[in-house]
Amino acid sequence: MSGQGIEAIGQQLRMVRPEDASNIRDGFDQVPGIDEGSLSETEQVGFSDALTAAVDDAATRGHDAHEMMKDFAAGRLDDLHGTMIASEEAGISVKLVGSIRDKLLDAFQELWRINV
Amino acid sequence: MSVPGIFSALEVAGSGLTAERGRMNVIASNLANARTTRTAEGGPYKRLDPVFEAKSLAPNAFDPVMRNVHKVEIGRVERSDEPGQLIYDPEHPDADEAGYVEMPNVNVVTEMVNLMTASRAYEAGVTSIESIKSMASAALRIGR
Amino acid sequence: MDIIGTISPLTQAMDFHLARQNLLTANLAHVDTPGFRARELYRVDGFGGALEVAMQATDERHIAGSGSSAEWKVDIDPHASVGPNGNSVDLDREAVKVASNNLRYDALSTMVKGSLQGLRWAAQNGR
Repeated sequence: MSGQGIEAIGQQLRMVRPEDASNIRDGFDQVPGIDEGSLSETEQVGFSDALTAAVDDAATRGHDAHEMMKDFAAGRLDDLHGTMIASEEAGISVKLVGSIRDKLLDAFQELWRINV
Repeated sequence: MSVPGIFSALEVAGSGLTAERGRMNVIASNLANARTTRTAEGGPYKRLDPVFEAKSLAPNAFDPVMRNVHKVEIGRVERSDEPGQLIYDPEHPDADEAGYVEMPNVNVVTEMVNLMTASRAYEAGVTSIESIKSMASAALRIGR
Repeated sequence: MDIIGTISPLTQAMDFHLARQNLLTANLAHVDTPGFRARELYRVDGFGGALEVAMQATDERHIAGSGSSAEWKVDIDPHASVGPNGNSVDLDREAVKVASNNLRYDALSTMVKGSLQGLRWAAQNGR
């Protein structure tokens, strides 16, 4: 789990880009100026799903990592390097979710500027 | 000291070092006097044996760990009254009427083995202290 | 993502391993004491379960990590064989325990440091 976890997190971080802001549908009801018809079905749905999946995955990883640390603390687990990596993963997951939130806010503000 | 922490552990480890060093001093005395046939009290040198005792760090503490952690001390140094070997040597200044000299009851081989054991135990104490220092350093790194 | 909920079990585990270090150090110091029995520190698991529930009820004392010894137990080590003079301390066995206990404590302290850094980051980067 450990080493692959960090790689997967890196993949997801790369997926979240501000340029994708114009493709956001969920929660942004009135967005005049963007012709929704010009976007294909898959492009419109894909990004928000990917976003949700990324946040869920980061949250799950963080939760799993914390469970692993608690097990190690209670003496139920003997895996030293796995737990140390999980500890780092937990920190990275927090920052990943924060980073996703930041980029989402940036994207929203950009759209808001287009509106006005 | 009311909780089992770094400083209580250091005190225990330190007591081990002191006790083993005390034992090494006694062994040194035995070895140095392995052939002393006349002491100030008269008679040959008699072997000394240190007796180690366990002393609780905090016998009245509320914390059960503190009650059960024991320092080690040399409680007393016993003099062995076992008779030593009798050597037939009429020319010896300390020979008795029959020409026998009573040697000290020190067995050099036993004393050397004890010295090695004490030395090993001393090193174990040093290892204990290194380990405790490592834990203290790890705790100090939390804030850095 | 439950950073605060993880720190308390970590610090309590650190308290446990530090207390255990005291007992193991004493074992090593008494390798030559006649009649001395090697001791061990055990977690009382039944208590551990009850403590878990109490922490979820957000009792402030538990978040503070009081490290009370109510959930630990000191006992004579049953696996240490007794020698001729009543002493049951095996130098090598105890030395190995000292090393592994040290390792666990160091690992836990690193995890605590990481968790605290995560908390600090979250506190500084709220928008």
